[in-house]
Amino acid sequence: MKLAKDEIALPNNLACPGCGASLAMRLALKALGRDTVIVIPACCWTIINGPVGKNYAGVPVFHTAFETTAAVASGIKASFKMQGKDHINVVGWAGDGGTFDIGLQALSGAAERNDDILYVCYDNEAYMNTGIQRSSATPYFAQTTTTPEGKNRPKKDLMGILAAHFVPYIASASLAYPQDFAKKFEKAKSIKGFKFIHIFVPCPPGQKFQEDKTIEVAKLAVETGVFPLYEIIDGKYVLSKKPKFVDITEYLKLQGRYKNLTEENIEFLRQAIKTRWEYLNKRFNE
Amino acid sequence: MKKVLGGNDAVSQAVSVCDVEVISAYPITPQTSIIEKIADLIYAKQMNAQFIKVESEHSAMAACIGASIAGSRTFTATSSQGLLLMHEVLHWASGARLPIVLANANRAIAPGWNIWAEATDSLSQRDTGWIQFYAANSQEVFDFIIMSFAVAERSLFPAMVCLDGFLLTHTKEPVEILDHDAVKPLLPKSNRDTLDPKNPKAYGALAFPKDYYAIKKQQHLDMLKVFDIFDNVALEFKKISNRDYRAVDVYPTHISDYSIVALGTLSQTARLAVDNLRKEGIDVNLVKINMFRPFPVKQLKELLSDKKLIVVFDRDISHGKGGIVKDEIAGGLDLCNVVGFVGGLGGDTITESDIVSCFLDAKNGQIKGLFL
Amino acid sequence: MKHIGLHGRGGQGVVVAGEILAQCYFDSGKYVQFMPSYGAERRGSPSHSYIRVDDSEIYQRYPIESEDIAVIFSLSIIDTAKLKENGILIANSANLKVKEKKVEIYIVDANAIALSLNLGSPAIPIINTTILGAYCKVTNDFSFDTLASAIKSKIDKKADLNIQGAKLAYDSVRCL
Repeated sequence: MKLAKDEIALPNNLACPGCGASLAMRLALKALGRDTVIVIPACCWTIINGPVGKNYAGVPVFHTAFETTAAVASGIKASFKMQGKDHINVVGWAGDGGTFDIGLQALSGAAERNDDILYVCYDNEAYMNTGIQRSSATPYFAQTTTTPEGKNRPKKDLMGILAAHFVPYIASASLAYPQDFAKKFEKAKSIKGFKFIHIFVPCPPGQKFQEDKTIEVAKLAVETGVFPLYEIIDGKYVLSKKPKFVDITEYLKLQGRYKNLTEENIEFLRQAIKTRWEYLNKRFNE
Repeated sequence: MKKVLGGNDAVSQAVSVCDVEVISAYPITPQTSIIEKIADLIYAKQMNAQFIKVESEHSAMAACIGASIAGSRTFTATSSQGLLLMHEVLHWASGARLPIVLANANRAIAPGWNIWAEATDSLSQRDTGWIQFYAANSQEVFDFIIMSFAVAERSLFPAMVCLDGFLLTHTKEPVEILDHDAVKPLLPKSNRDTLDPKNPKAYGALAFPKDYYAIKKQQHLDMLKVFDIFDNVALEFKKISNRDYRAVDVYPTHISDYSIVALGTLSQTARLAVDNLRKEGIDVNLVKINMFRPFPVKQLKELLSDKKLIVVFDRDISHGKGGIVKDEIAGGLDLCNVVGFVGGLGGDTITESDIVSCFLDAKNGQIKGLFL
Repeated sequence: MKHIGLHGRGGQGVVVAGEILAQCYFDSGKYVQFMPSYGAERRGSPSHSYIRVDDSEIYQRYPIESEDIAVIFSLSIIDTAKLKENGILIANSANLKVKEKKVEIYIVDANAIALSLNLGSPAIPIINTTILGAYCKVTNDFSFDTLASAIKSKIDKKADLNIQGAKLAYDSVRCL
């Protein structure tokens, strides 16, 4: 399928050079179209979208308090329903901090009620906007300013948490696979009820890689099996792309946040990928 | 030993010498370097503490409450939205009589998103039953944090030390620091064994009106004892540091026709305004509030009762009323000769000439409005 | 009171340079106030730090409105400096033409020095310590040794290399 030509998000936003989150919004809006309203909590997009007077998203944006994204989106959708404006996509657009951590209560609430919203988590795996502190989306061993020794807990399985809410559509998407990305947003658009899309977003200053390697990092995240691309459609796990399982070191060596990993750590991660995929494959084959 | 430190550096430096056992915190600009430094110190084994990296500020305060009731010296730091998110549990910490210490980077409240200095966040928490200190420079930040632990533990009230975002958190200047051995006599380890399976008690249970009223009355009366407790702590602190602290300071002398009142870093700029006005022959002094809660009525009455005019500068606002500090002074002291100005919201710049100009307007009966 | 502004882009180490400079003045017995400027932080956006230096405690708590000395890391943001007339400009540049104001201009090719010592990368040479060497020579407010020990106290890796760069700049800075 072809990506829509209409550029909705405006250029020259305030993102860092090489910002994955900026590209994610651009691609998402191409699929969603102009009949879209976005709720943005405290996160990088609070800045990227521009200060008072600017709106680089190019669609109506409501900036909201950190923990409230899903609840605010639910409120907007309820109002639109009453006004007969149900055709407008209501989208929560939050970082990993505002989704996995502080925003989890509101997210769970909206999911459990099956509120008709699309919640997008653009995940750069730490609190990047405030200077690279750990979140529960930070992967094992990754270095952040609050885990100088490397994080000692695995990344939370948020898609699994949401699957336990029995919602119609959950998917992961990657900037390196824009057509798959667009298809998933199109599909979400067409479904009534609670939808969640999880995007892994490379971040050069936070993950510490060169600014021109954003897509390479995104691609390797998928091809090493670190970031599985799949959907959970009415509870059924569906694989989007079988990775080549390139050795994880190809992915780790690009990023400064992993520079202190030992051979032991790396072997642990290889094993973790294996275990994760055994778990997922069981579900894909059900 | 003197070091060049910003307010945030001073916070983490002070916390590191106070034998704090549990820290739970959530990042928010401009507090982040406090918790990052603490994470570094723990990692480098220069500090022995549990650092719970919670998922929100509400949980940060809740975890502090847990650690404190269990008997540990406990600390957290936050700012603005984070402090506001803690609001419900701030009340709980005080009602539960827990000596938690919190550093608040004063920052404006969204919307719009603004990371710069404003005191509305902590001033709007003045009803939560917390002791509140406002620091004007990095030295005071360092000293207030240490004294807060002592005052909190002797009074059994939580205490917050407030420092203006960027103007103090990130502005570096010389600070005389104290080491762990110097501070230790001031902060003995507590013997509290509140959650003891051998002596099981329940805390914070259902309270019928008569019981609740008695508890809350006592909470207020106990808070009034903090003035003497603070004075005693300050005396002991002077012995180890050679620095003097009072709930309220006056510059250059308490005798004057007029007074300008401010707290936080604004008091420093106001000091320059006072110097300039006095050079022009105007008999005005600066009254600088260091401890805002409990509200030092007695000390302020002594300093302000005889003034022709009191002009209060607020870098905060209570919408529909005006400046909070002005309100507290006029109301707390039953005075009618108090004029208030509000400025600097969202970190907007206030210079000494702004203060001079508003003061003169007030003195000459030509007030143009509430805002600078 | 002396007012100093350092101006560059995010990633050039403007804030660390300011901290080192503040340390130098402090070590020379002065009272210092160092303020980094915070806007919408990201790599490449303008980055500033400001220092006030005096013999006694400093009470001003607002941005510096007029600089006695401006240090320019990157000519592309030179307009953001607030240098007063007869002030001193120290710029990272091989060559520079400045019209208008009457200011004393000193230039040093800090980029070239940094690259020659492999400080940073060709895309982003690390010039913050280098340019302080030029500052030291121009102002003579503290000794080079003072600068060297301040650099050592703030720079973890390659402190000696940074000091070398500062020395080269100290020796090669020239007045236009």
